[in-house]
Order: sequence, then structure tokens, then C-alpha cells
Amino acid sequence: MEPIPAPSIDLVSLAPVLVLTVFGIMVLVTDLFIGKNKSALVFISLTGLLMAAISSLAKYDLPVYSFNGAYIVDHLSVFFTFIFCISSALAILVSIDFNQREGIKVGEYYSLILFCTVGMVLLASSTDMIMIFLGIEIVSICLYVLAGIRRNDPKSNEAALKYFLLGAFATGFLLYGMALIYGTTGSTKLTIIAEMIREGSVRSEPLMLMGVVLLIIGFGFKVASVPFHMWAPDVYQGAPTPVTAFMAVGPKAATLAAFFRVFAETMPEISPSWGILLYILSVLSMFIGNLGAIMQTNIKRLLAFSSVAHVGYLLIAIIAKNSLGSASLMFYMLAYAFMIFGAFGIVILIGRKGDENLEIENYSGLAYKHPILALSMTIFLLSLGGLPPLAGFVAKFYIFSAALKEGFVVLVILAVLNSAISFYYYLKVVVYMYMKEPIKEFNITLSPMTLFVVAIALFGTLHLGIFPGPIIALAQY
Amino acid sequence: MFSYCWIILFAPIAGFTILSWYGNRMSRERVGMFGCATVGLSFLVTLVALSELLLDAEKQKGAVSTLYNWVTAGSFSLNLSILIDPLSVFMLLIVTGVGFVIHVYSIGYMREDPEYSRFFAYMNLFIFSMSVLVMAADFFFLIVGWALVGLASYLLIGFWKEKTSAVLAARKAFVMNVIGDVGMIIAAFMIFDHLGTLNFLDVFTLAGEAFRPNDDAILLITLFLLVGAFAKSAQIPLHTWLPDAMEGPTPVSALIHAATMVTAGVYLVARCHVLYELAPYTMYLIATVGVVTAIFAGSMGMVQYDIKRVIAYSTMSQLGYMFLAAGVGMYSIAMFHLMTHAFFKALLFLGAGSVIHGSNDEQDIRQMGGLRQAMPITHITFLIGSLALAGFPLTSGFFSKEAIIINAYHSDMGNIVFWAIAVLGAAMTGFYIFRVYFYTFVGQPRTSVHAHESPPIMTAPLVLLAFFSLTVGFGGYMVDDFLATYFGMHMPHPDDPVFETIGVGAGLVGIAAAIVFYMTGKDRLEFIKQMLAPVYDLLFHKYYIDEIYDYLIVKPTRATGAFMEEKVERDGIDMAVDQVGTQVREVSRVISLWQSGKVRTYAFNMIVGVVIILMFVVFQ
Repeated sequence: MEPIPAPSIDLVSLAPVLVLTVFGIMVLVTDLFIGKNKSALVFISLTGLLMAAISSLAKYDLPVYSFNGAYIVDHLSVFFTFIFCISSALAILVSIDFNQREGIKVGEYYSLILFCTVGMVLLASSTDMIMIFLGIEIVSICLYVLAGIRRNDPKSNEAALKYFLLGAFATGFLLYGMALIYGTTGSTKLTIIAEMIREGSVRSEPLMLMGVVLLIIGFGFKVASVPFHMWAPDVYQGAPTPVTAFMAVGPKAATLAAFFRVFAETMPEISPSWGILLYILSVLSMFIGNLGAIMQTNIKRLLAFSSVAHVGYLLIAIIAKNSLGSASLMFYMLAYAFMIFGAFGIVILIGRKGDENLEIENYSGLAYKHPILALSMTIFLLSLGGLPPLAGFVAKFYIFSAALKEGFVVLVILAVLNSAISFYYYLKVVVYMYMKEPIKEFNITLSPMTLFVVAIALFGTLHLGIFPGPIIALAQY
Repeated sequence: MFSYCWIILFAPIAGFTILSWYGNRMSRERVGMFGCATVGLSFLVTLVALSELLLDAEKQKGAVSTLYNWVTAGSFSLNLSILIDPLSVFMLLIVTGVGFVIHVYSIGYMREDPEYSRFFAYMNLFIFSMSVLVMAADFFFLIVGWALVGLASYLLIGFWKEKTSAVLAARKAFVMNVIGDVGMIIAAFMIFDHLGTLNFLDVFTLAGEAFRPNDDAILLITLFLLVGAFAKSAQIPLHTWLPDAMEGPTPVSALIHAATMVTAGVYLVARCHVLYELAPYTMYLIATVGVVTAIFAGSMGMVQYDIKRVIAYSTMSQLGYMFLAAGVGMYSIAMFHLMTHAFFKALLFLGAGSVIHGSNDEQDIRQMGGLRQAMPITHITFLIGSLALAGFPLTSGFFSKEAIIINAYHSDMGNIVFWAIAVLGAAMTGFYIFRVYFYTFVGQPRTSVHAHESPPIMTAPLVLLAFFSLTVGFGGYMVDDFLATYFGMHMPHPDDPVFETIGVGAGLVGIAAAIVFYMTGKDRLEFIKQMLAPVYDLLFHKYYIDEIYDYLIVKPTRATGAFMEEKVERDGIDMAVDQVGTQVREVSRVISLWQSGKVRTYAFNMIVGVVIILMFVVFQ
């Protein structure tokens, strides 16, 4: 019997994961010893995120494989780790005042965000399907709990349960797909699978194709692309608003990173078979997302449908499968993080205890009472739509250029057409804010931490839009 | 070179920013002065650029001034840059010059509006957007400017937001313009796909080698660009928003919907003339649509009673003439008419605004009359504007329109049909504008409202514009010389006294017809005695003639105009556009219904999705 080789253990490359786990546990333990004031937990969590971001830079001779080629530190993973840390930090900052207002008093909240971030980093750094599966599950389980964290709110419970049931269902597909691919190639390691595909022996294997299709279905559910998007509006609406924002950015970015690794990097040779499927999913997501958003009256549902449409745009980066595609994916997610946290930050500010003011009607006349909030919201929404010179435009510009470089002209034209449609509903909110009379008194508490998040998001949206050069250079490194 | 020209952009955008933030805290005088000063500064800088171009023929080839490199993706990069050449400076002169005059007029016109500073902020935003449009050095920033003027126009049409009709009109204009924007974007993609660049100078250099005349690709590109041009310039069938846009304040109609924004389509064709010359079929289409719009809009203008709507239809019709000129390859004539039109049409709108202002916001010409005595300055300037529009000899409109009509026949791409329709349109022009003139200024007051002359801050711009409406026509040769470097040719001067006389005569016939039909009672007799004393006896039996005319011309014309408006416009084109919106909302509603909220429905839908995908893969 051959001895089982001991995996090479490289803890330095695992540093962000370790740091986040340790800090997550610290939050749990500290929670036992402090009273009702949770600000110490916030401080610990933010420190953890900062240290994780710094520790991700520990390896500077990229790329580095470790754990027998199951884990990689490369440009993509480091950039994404930064996006995760930024978005988790913004989520925590935006939660402070919200949790106080809504009476969410559990310390686990912050540790769950940290653990979720662990899952995301794993997802972005895995080069082994087992690890990818683990990452997805860590992220999902944390999200199920976070969505239902308001135990006394039936809507929150409903969201969590729906998300869990459908998520478990989708995980089945994902795992089955992985099993089929393992069955044909004999390995779960992406590098080995890539090599076998390059050699050509497994290319036309029907089981391989079936596995690829099931993987797309599994990933498609996790990123909420049509036709597996139906959970998104309900869950986005029911979950506490900071969790919604968190869900819309970090986990989605992580899944897309893994998506890119598995498809664009591992199996570019058989791209005709999966490319056409992603093409269809992308076009459907854009159209259903944008058209669905038009009739929404609830701002969270509107943003949920719009996020479905954004997944449509993001899939284009995977379809393009070139280096510009990965760079544009990174840039888009960073820009998206700022826009989404900005928009949800405003949504949180508009609400008050017992009345979250989530109907778009409630935004009527905001510009007269709070011109700066209205202007910021306008900037975030227009940026989501892709208006130059805001971050959203530059992000779309790079994704579309990546696709044009590969000759997907029709796809890009459809995407641009969709951006035009999307302005219809983004501007609807703007029209309410600027052109309608208020329907009731705004009773807004301008909580400083949420305002801080909005300010950061505003800076990010404008800066990435007007001076995108340095960040793009980093992403294209 | 020309880096100081960035001031033309920065001044109005600074005005917009400052007025929207501090406008409410500034006194009204300050707001007005500040709003005008920014545009005035832009105008002065444009004059400097103009003098530099005139003094140094070498610079007329055009120069690009770059601020910094914005984004780069692979071989493609976008710079923040502006193009200064004779064409862009020519347009800037109109935008900032006429814009400045209209800003000054607005100080008086909007005096009592509670949201004075918001108005000036939007107007500054518009000047900025329009400057971006005409100074853009590539298709990308052209589209940015294109969309921005649409936004500014939306904000200004819907300025009185408590007025439902204004908000609806604003929305309609916006939707129509977005259709145009999408066309432009597709065209830009196609250009990039074929040539690998969006830069004007590069595109125009490369186009000659990349395309053969009437290639599919160049036809599609020019057609998609044309969608944008027609939407912005209100040509058939994308014109329905323009008459409705008259719901906005009158200075807005004068600035955006007469002098500047609506001419952007003509500018686009002129700017891209290299591409259009490679697509003669498209040129032919432009000329046809232009000439059809010219009489279509003219015929509808003849039956309207809202003073602003008549002038709006007239604008459509004159834009049709500009497209006709561009379509037969006479770009500098199109630009020349664009300039004279900017002056006399802004004058007419501002005059109409003065009339509306002076008669307590009345817009129906049937309620007016005899304003000649009460508003002497408005009267005389409006008369000058009307004469210029009708092409009365030696006014500015005479030179530019005459050049278009004669070249509709004599240029290489012209023909007798274009010429005949253009002449018919000229007759209509004289008729409808003098109909308004007689209704409004001549005869007896029809209501008891005591009209009053507008304050000097409003009449001074009128006098200035009237002066230019009379004189700029003599500058035709200068315009031609100035633009010749860009278009690569001078405009021809066909010598054909017969056709020319008919062209001039048509306008006069139209005016005469208006005199016959719309000068009422004593006035008409007086007028005819004075003007036509020698033939007075001949016209003594005018009542028979009236009746014959009435049966042969007036009623059919009215019926045609009414038919065009009722059936073609409202039931046809408008309905079609509305239907698009309705259907989209319907789809959206269905998608929402699908979202039942039940987990088992969702799971079932997922299964359906999975099955469809698997079937797709298996059968592929």
C-alpha cells in the first residue's frame, strides 16, 4: 500500500483565513463578558478585517500554490480578499446604528460576518472543487443565519427558511456536478482537470458535459442568475437591510471569483459548450432583472431585481474568459460594493424604528428636506445604471471591452440596451425624490456611522469613476 | 493648444453646481447675474478661440486639447479631450451667444417664479451639456453630451412640476431621446468594431479605406447615427415630443427647442459628413425625410391656435430644411440656415414669450389681437422675426432658405421633386407665421385683458436678436469660407433666375394668403388699400374669391392638417410609442406575478429551468 503523502502545509498563505477565524472566535468569547454595549465587538471585528487584508499581502511572489495545489494565493485571490474585507467592514459599520434601532442585540451577528468572510476568502483562493464546495457552504450557512437574525420578525424568518430550502436544493446540483467531473477526470483539483481537458481526452465525454451543466446550475443559484433567481427578491426584502447589502456584494463576488476560476481559467478549451449556456443565462438575467424591476414599489425588491440584472453583466466577464475579463470582474465588484453599500446606507437612514419606509413613495420630496442624502442616492443609482463619469460606468466599460475583444458584439449591444432600460427605474426613484411632494414627515435620525459609510461609498463611487487608472492598473497587474 | 477652451465647459458647470447649492440663499439679482455671467464668460472665450482660428489658417485644421487619460482597455483608450475646429467654434458661438441673450431675457421672464435659482442652475447645466456635445473629440463624449442635453431638456420641460401636462411632456421627450441615444450607442459600437477607434479625426481618416460606398456596414452605421439625429431634431417619425415640449417655460423653448439642442442632429450629420458621403443612400433618405418633415410640420402649423405650438411646428419644418440641405450635400448651407434660424426662431419664441407674459399667460391666439399698440417693441421685433422666417427678401432667412431651395434642385443629389416640395413648404411658412402675426398683433383686442409691454430686460434681447435676424444673412460668404476647411468645399451659387424667383415668390404668396384670410374687417380693407391701391379694384370682388379659396384651398388644407394631427400623429405614431411603454410595463407585471412567494413554486421553477437547460445541452 502506498503511503498517503502528507500535504505541504503553508500557513502563511492561509493567513487571512486564520486571522479571520481567530477574530471571529474572539468576538464570540468577548461577547460573553461584556454587557449590552456591543461596540467592543465592532472594534474587534474591524481590527480583524484590517489585519486579514494586510496579511493577504504576506506572499509577494505570486502565484503560490499550497496544500498540494488545493489552495492558491494569486492576484485574483488577493484583490478579492481586499474586496471582501472592505465590504464586510462596510456591512459592520452600517449595522451598528441599524441594530441599535431595531433591537438586534446578539453578538454572534459580528462573528457570523467574519466567518462568512472566511468562506469567501476560501472560495476565491480554492483550486480544488472540494475546497470550493466548503467555501460555498461556509458562506451559505452564515447567510442563512444572518438573514433570519431578527428572530421575532416573521418576514426575516421566512426569508431565512426560503433561502435555506432553495439553497440546499441548489447545493445538490453543485455537488452532483462536481461528482460527475471527478468521475470523468479522476481528480477534484482544477489544475489536473485543466490539464486533462487540454489533452483532449475528456472533452467530448457526455458525463463531463453534464457535470459542467450542473455546476453552472449550482453557481447560477448562488449568484441569483435567471432562472434560479426567484429567491433573491423575497430574501433581499425579508432580511435585515445591512444583511441584504452584505449578501448582495461579498458572497456574490466570492462565488463569481470561483465561477471564473472553474470556467474561464480551468476549461477555456471547451468554452463553446458552457459559453453558450452562460450567454443565455446572462441575457435572460439582464432582461428579466431589468424588466422585473420596473414595476417594483419596494426599494429593496427593486434593488434585488437590479442585482439580478447586474449578475447578467458580470457573467459577461466570465464569458469573455480573458485577462481583461478577470480584471474587469474585480473592478466591477469593487465599484459595485461602493454603490450598493451607499444605496442601502441611504435606505437604512430613511427608515426609523417600527417603520422602515421601504416604499419608493416614501422617498417623495427627499430632496427638499435632505438635499445631500437625495443627491447621494441619485449618484449611487445613476452609477448602478452606468452613467459616466461614475464608477458603474467605468466598470461596465471594462466588462464590455473584455467581451468586445473576444468578438461578442451582439451580447454587448444587448447589455447596453439593458443599461438603457435600467435607467427607467433608477430614474423613477430620482423623480420621486426631486419632483414629488413629500407624503409624510421625514423623521430621520442622521446616525453618524451610517453617514460615514455613505460618505465612503460616495468617495469610492466618484473616485473610481473619475480616476479609475490606478485601480485598473492594480486589477490588470 | 486651445487649453483655455476648457473654460467654456467649466464656467457653466461651476454655475450649475454653485446655483444648485447656494442658489436659495442668494438674492434674486445675484442669481440672475451669476447665471448670465457664466454663460457670458463662455461666450467671450469662444470669441477668443474664433479670433485665433481666423488669424491663423493653419489652426483651422482643428486641434485636440487633452486633459488626461481617463480609461484604457487594451488598445482602446479614452481621453478627456475637446476638439476645437471651425465647426465646433461655429456651434459654440450660437450655443453660448444665443444662450447668453436668452439667459438675460430669463431674468425678466422668470422674475416671479419661486424657483428662480433652480431655473438658472438647469439652464447652466444645459449650456454645459450642449458645449460637451459640440466640443467632443470622439463619439463617446458626443454621446455623453447627447444624453446630457436630453437630461437637461427633461428637467427644463418638466420645470413646473405641479403641472401634470408638463411632467408628462418631459417624460415623453426623455423616452424619445433615449431611443435616439440607443441608436447612437449601437452606431458607436459598430464604428469601433470596424475601425478600432472612436476618435473623430481617426475615424474620418480611416473610414475612406475601410468602407466602400454603400457598404452594408457604413449604411447601418449612418442609419443608426441617424436614429439619434432624428430623435434629437424631431424629424418624422421621432418628432412627437417637440410640440408637447412647449409645456416648458418659453425661454427654454427658445434656447433648447429652437436655437440649439434640436439642431444637434444637423450638427451630427455635418460633423460626420465623411461617413455620410460614403453612404449616398442614407443621404437620399436624409433629404427625403427632411423635405417630408418640412411640409408635414408646416401643414400642421397652419391649423394650430396655441402660439407656441405653431412656432414649434415651424421649428420642425425648418429643421427639415436643414436636413434637406445636408442630405443633398450642402453642409455649409445647412449650418448657415442653422445659424439664421437660431436667431430668428429664438426671436420669435422670445417674442411669443413676451406676448404671453404681457397678456397674463394667455397662449391661444384667438384670445389675442391688436397687441400692436400695447406692445410696440414686441410687435416690431416679432414682425422682423416673421419676415425672416418667411424668407422675405434681404432678411437673414431669405439668404439661407433661398440657398437651400435652389440647391435642392441644382446640387448633384437634388431633383425637381425636392425643389417643388421645398417651395410648397416655403409658401406654408409664410402663411402660418403671418396668420399668427395677424391674429396676435393686428385688429381689435378680443378680450378685455389689458396687455402691457414687457420690461426692458426682456425687450433688449428682442431688439438684439431682431438686429441679427435682419443682418446675419449678409454673412453667408463668411460662414462658407470659415467652414470650407472642414467640409472641404465651398457652396456653389447656381445662377438660375427663374427658380430663384419662384422660391422667393412662394414665401410672398404665403404671406399674401395670410393677409387675405386673416386680416379682419376694417383692418384688412385699410391694409389692402395702402399696400395694393393699384389693384384694389381687381380685389374688390374679394368675397367671391374668398369663397372659392375657401372651398379649394382653406378647407382641404385644414382638413389635411387636422387629419395629420388626429390620425397620423395621435392615433398612429403616438399610439405606437405609447404601446411600447405599455407592453414593457405589462411584461414587468407578469414577471412580478411569477414571483408568488411560495417556496414550492420557486423550487418547481428551478426544476423547469434545469430540465430546459439539460434538454438544450442534449439536443444541441
